[in-house]
Amino acid sequence: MAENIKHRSSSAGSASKQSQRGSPKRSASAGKSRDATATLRGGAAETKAGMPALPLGQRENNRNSFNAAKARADKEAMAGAATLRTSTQLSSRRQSGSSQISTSTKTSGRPGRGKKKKRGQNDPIQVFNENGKDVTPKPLSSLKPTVLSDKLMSISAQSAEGTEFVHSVPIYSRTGFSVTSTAGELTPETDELGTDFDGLESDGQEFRRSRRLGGSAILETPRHPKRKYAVIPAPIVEVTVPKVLRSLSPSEIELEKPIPIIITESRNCIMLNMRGHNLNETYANYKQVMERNEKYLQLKEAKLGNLDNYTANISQTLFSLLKNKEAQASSLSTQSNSIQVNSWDIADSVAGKVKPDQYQPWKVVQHGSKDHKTTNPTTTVVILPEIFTENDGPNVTPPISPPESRRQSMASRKGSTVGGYSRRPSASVGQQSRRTSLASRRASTSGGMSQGQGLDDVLRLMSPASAVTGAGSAGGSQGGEPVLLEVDISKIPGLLKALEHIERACVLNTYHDRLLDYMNFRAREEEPPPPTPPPELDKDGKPKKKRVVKEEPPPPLDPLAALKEFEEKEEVIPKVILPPLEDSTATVHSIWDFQCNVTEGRNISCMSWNKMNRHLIAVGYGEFDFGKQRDGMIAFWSLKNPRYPHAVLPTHSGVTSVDFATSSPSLLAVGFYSGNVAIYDVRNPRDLEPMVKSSFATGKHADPVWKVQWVDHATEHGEGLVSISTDGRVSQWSIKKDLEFVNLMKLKKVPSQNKGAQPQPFISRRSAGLCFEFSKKDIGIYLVGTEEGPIYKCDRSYNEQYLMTYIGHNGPIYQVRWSPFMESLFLSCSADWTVRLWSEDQEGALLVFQTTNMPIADVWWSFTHACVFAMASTDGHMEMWDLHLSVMKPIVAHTLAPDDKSLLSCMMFSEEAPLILLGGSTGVLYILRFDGLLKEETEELELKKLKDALAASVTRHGAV
Amino acid sequence: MGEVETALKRILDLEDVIGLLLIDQDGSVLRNTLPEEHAKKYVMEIPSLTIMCRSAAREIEPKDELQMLRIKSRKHEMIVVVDDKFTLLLLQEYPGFWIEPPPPPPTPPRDSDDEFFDDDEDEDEE
Repeated sequence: MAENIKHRSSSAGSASKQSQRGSPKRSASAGKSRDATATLRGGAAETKAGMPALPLGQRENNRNSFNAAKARADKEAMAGAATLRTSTQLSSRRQSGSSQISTSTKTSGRPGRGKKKKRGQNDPIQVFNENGKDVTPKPLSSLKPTVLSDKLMSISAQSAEGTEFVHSVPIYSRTGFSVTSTAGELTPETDELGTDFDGLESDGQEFRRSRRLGGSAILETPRHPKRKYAVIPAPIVEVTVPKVLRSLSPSEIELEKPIPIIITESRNCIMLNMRGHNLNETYANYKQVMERNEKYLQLKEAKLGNLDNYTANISQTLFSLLKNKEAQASSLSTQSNSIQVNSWDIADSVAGKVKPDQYQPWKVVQHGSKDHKTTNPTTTVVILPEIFTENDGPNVTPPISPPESRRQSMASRKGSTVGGYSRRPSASVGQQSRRTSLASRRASTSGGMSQGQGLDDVLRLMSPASAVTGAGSAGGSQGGEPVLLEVDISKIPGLLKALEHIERACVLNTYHDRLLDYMNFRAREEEPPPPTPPPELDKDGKPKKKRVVKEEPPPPLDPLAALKEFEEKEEVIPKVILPPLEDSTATVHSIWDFQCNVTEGRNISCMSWNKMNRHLIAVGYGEFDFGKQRDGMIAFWSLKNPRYPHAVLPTHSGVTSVDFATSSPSLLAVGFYSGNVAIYDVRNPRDLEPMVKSSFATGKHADPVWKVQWVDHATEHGEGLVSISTDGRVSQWSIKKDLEFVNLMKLKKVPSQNKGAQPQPFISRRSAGLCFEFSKKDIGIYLVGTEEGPIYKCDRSYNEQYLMTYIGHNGPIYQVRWSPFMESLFLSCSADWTVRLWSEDQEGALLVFQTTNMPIADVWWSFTHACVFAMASTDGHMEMWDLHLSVMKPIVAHTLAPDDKSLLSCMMFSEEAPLILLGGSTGVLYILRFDGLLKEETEELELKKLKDALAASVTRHGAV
Repeated sequence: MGEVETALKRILDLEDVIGLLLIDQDGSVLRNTLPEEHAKKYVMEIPSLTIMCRSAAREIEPKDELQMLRIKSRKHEMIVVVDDKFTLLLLQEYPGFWIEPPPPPPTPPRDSDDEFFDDDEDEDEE
């Protein structure tokens, strides 16, 4: 047998074609063998399916048989032969048990040989166990018989002819898939077996059908009705004996009958395949594995409590796929702006100092180019649309066009230093970088804040503006003329202030040297001899005065003759004798005059220093004569601008007296010719109305107020205002609700004490007061100068009685002044051409000074020199006297220019500098500087000097 | 005539004033009494200078503000008042008391004088 098989296998390749042709003879023998081979065939199938459901021996056998087949197919002769031998042996041994089947098949196999032959080629091997059960393993997949297998089968059939019992070994080529066909071949029988195997029948049908479909036409096998081997897969492996057979006793029939063996097997479905590991201690990595397990356990232990925190997931995320979509859009228009911002710019913006929205461009009207000699007719001005909605006026971009090259250089430079353009189109447009100077800075702050105006505005404005600017610059490059715009500049906020500043700066430049003079910055004492330091003044007043001093010497010889002339000639009296040598050192020169067109022609009636700002003078303008009355004015002059008053207060009535308060320096008391008294607060000079003003109801004076003065009441209600008028009242005013007055004194005439003159009845007992002054020693004491001539010393405590009456003057007393150094001494000046020096406790004058034949309008003690006083006569003559040097002659005299018709009406010394201020009737305030006065080092020495002088002169005078 | 015009006229009436130039924030000339050739140059040069000075003043003292700029040259003095909305420039003949000293030229300027002059001549930021 082994040889046979061997032979068969060896000849398989060569005989394949013959078997395919299928000669009848061969097929007959093959029919026999086919039945037998069924046994093995199942094994082959089983092997394919890998189902170890059979007893081991059979399984081995089947496997081997299959292996043999396979080996043959692979032409592995040797290995195949060995295994095949065993398989055949096993098969033969089984013969005993299955001999019946074999015989039956032999006997009954004849009729359909031809068909059988074909069928046999594909019949599966059926496996039976000892109980007759067919345990042929079911294939999991069907194999399709191949051409090769057919040939092999035919060969095997051929070779089987010679043997009685043919073991037909199913031969399948490896390339075939016909394992399914085995099941399919077996199943047809189930149809005939009845409905017992309904569940399986369909399977069989399927198998068969699939075989038919998959098989080649040659292998089409008609069903053989006689052979009833049916192997039906079933869940339970058992043999089902048909009832029909069971009822029969074993007999021939039974033996004859085909025994259906049904082997079913569940299809396996692997749900989980987990390979367990058992580790031997001898395993090389045993320890490591155990350690790892240990760690894992520990980890599990640790994670047991907080499972929430422990998740291990692996997930794969999908990237969303990008998709490109093309769309069409209009191109973006961009615009780049740059500004330079300083930290303080930001600070200003944050502080709201710069309010862009409040910016209002002024209405701009361009002059025709001819008006400004612009040679370039192409220069245009463009009116832009409103930039900000708030604007109500059109904004004009004046194209200022410097030569091209210059502009470019400017532009480049600007770019580096100043920065870019502002958002404001007029400034930011185009190449007018020059303009960025102010605009960019401003717009940098403002523009930034109102950026919300939007790009549209800018863009909208950009185009016309740029076009225009281009045109303008193009034209400008030819002409190069700055275009002048005429603007209503009065609308520009702050311009007035700026003009004021610039005027001051300018004037201060012009007056620089004179201001130095004024401020006494040039110490002139060091060079007294050389050129008599009068500064290079173009004023002819100074040289003249000098000449006066020099040429005067002769005239003094004939003062009487001059006096007789009674002309208004002041030279007649200047008689001033040659001063002593020391006197010659004293000089006076004019520094400048406070005058302007506003004050022109107005009589300066009074003036007052501001007590706080020592360089601010309030000057009152008002006529003295009843017939010339007109409106008055108060002007505030300061050193900052000698050309124009700081402020001007027009008044309805002529101003006759002014005085600044001490405690609140901004209060200015004003007495009017109308008799009114008013108080101005000059902190806001634009406020033209007085703070308070007297009226008839509140008891204004009936006559002009000739003097007002703030008097410090010390412990009382602060500063009180005292006024005097020719109506005879000396009133103190208090500001409570309104101006209210208390009469300090009602001046009454007193009978003359002249023994010689016979007393005359008074027409009116009332006396007219012209001036007063409070004593610095005792603030309750004051002097009153009257129109009639007497000077009264009064006390506030007694409003009826005079403390003392000083008789001497024959005319109205214009001014009385206490000496600042010696409290008991005072001066008075009168219209009787004299100035008298009085002592408080003497009724008669100590000294009488008379040098002119004109009324003396004012007299003033020097603040610094105890012995020095000055007087101003209404004829424009000013004299300074030094009691120490002479009581007969002034040390220096100053006369106004002959063409100056001004009459001096008031004068003032300055506390700050050696200055004398003279107020003239033409509205000119003269400022004179005097030099060369000898001054002691301390006030005590000055006082001593004064006393000495008095002692000497008075005694001498008295002696005389 | 408004106050401004009056003030303007007054300034121009000052003896040594050459002219006055009012430039608005955009660099437009609003008023000019300078000779043309002067005006062009000043319009171009001055605003940038004021910007720098202003910036400097603010950098030094952030709460300060430049108000006035005075530039003394040999021939002229330029006084520039700076404001947000305009720049006002005044050109003045050099007063001459320093360059052409008064008759006693060697008058040794005293220290106090020097100080005074320095104070006054520097660009003041009032």
